[in-house]
Amino acid sequence: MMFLANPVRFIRLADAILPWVKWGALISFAVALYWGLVVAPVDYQQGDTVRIMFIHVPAAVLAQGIFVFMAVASAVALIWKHPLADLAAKAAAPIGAGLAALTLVTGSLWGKPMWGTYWVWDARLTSMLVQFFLYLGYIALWQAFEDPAKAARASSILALVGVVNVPIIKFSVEWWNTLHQPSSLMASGGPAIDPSMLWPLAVMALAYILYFIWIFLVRLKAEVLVRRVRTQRLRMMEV
Amino acid sequence: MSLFLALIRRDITLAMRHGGSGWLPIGFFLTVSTLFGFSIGPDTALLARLAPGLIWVAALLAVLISLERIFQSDFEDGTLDLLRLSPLPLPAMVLAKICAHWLSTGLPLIVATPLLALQLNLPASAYGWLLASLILGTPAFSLIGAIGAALTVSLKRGGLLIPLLILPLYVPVLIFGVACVDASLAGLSPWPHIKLLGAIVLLAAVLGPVASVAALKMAAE
Amino acid sequence: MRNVILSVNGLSLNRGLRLLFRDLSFEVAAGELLLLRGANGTGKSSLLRVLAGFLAPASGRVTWSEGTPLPRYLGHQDGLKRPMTVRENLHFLETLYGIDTRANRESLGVTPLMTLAVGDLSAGQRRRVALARMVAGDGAPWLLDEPATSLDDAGKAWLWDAIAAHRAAGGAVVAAVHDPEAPADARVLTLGGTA
Repeated sequence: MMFLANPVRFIRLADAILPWVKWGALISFAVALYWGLVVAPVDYQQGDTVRIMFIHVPAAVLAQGIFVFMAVASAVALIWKHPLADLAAKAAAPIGAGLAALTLVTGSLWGKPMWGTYWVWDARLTSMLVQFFLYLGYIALWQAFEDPAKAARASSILALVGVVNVPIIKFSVEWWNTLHQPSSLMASGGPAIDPSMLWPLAVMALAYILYFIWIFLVRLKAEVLVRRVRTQRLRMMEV
Repeated sequence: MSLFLALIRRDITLAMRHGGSGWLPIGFFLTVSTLFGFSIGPDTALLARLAPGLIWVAALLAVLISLERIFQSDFEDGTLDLLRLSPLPLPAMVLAKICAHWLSTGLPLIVATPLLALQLNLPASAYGWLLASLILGTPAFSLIGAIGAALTVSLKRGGLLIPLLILPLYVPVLIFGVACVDASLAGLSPWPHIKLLGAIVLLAAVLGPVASVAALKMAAE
Repeated sequence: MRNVILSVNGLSLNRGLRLLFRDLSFEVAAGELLLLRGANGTGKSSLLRVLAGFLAPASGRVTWSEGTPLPRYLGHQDGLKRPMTVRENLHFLETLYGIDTRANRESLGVTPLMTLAVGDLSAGQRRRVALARMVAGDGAPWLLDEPATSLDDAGKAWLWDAIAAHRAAGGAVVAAVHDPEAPADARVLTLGGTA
C-alpha cells in the first residue's frame, strides 16, 4: 500500500489501468443491459417493471459498499497516515452518493407501479435515504474547510463515525418498519429473484464495479494532481 | 473527579449566563409543538396519536440548535488550550462538557415535557414511558451531537453544517425512543426499546468523546 | 551544570502553503529564558504551539525531559471566560492547575477587579488577569506568546519580574516578545527564512 504512496507511481499505475476498466465497464454495461432489459424473462406478476431491478440492486449494493470503502480508507489515513488514503475516500464519495441517489430514484420508479405511490417508506429505501444524507454530510465537510489537511482529518473522523452507525441505522429502520407495517410485500423486501435473472444481475454488478474503479481512478488522479500543484507551490516559496 | 465536577459547574454557569440554558430550550420546545398544533389542526385525537413522535422531534430539534455552543466559546477565547494543558484528560474534559450540556439543555426539556404532552393530548398512561425514553434519549443526543459540534468548531458557519452531519446519527435514537412510547400506548412492552436505547447511549458515551477529542485536536492545529 | 528540560530536533513546520521553518534544533535548560524573535508571520506563535503540543510538526521531535510538568501557555487569547467574574475565572484556574494566585493578584493589582465580569474589563486589565495564573516556581515551563500585549509599563515590569522569579526558582521560559527590554542573559532564537 505504501508502494502507492508516491504520487507519480500512483498516476502511472492509474493510467495503465484506466483504459481497461473504462472499456470493461462500457462493455459490461452494454451486455448486462441487453441481457437484463431485452433477453431475460419477464416476471409473471410484475411484468416489465421488474427490469429496473437490474439497475436498482447493484446500485444499492455499491452505494453501501463504497461507504465502507471510504471508512477503511479513512482509517488508513488516520492511523497509518498514508498520504493518498484520505484522497481516496474523497474521490469515492460522490460516486457513492450518485449511486445512492440512483437507488432511490429507481426504487421509487419501481414502487409506483407496484404499490401505487413513489415513496412508501419501506425499510431498505429509507435506510438508503439516510445513507445518502451521510454521503452529503461527508462531502459538505470536505468543502467546509479552507485548509485541506483539516478537511481531510475531519472527514475521516466523520466517515468512521458514520460507518459504525450504518448497521445501527439499518437495524433501527428495519425495526421501525416492522412496527408500522406488520405484513406486506413491502416488508418482505421485494420479489424473489428467478435464477435466470442472476447471471444478468451479476454482469451488471461487475459493470458497476468497473465503472466505480474507472471514475474513482479518474477522480483520485485529479485530487493527487491538485495536491501536487500545492506542494510545488510550497517548494517554490522556499527559495 | 473534582476537576471534572468543577468543569461541569463552570459550563453550567456559563450556559445560564449566556441564555443558552434552561428557558431557551424550553421556549423553543414549546414553540415547535405549538407549530405542530397549528400545522396539523386541533383534532385532539389525531394529535394524541402523533404526540410521541412530535414531542420527540421537538426535543431533537431543541438539542440540535444548542449543540454549536458546546465547544465554540472555549475554542474562540483560548480556554480550550488551557483545558488541554491540565491534569484532566481530554476525553474526561469532553465528557464533562457534554454532561453540562445535557444538564442545561436536555434536563430542562425533560422537565417541560409534561406541558407538551398536555398540549398534544398524550394519554396519561404514556407520560412515564415518554419521560423514561427522553431521559435516555437526550443524553444520547448530547453525546452524538458533540461530535458534530467538535468537527465544525473551527468553521465560521459550522452551525449550519451540524444538522446535516448529525441527523442521520440521530435516527436510531428517535426510532427507539418513539417506539417505546407507542408500545406502551398499544399495550405492548416498551422494554425492548428501552434496552436498545440504553445500548445506544452506552455506545454514544464511548464514541462521542473519542470522536470529539480527535476532532478538537484537529481543529486546534 | 546545564539541566536540559526541552530538546527540539530537526523540527519543520508548514502552515497551509507556507513553510515556516525547516530543520530547527535547540535546547532549553532549567532556569533559562529563550526569546523567539522574528518578523510577523515567521512562525513564532506556531513554534510555541508545537511546544505546547497543540500543533504537530511536519517532521522532527520535541522532547521534554522526564518529570517535567505540563507547560503553562499564554497565547494571544486571554484564556478567560467573559461572562464570568475575575474571581470565578481565577478560582476555576486555581482548581484546574492546583495553583494559588493570591500573590499574583496583589502584585498585578487585580484584586479590585475580582467582582467584575471579564467582559467588562479593558484589554490591559484582561491581560493582567490572564497573567495572574502564571505563578512562579511551580517547575512548569512557561510558553509565552506576546505576553506584553496591551500592558502598560507597570504591567511589563511585572512581567519581566515574574519571568525572573520563575527562572530563579528553576523554571524555563520560552517567549516570543517584541519588547526590547529583555534581560541580557537571555538566549535568542531568530526565526524567518529557512533556519
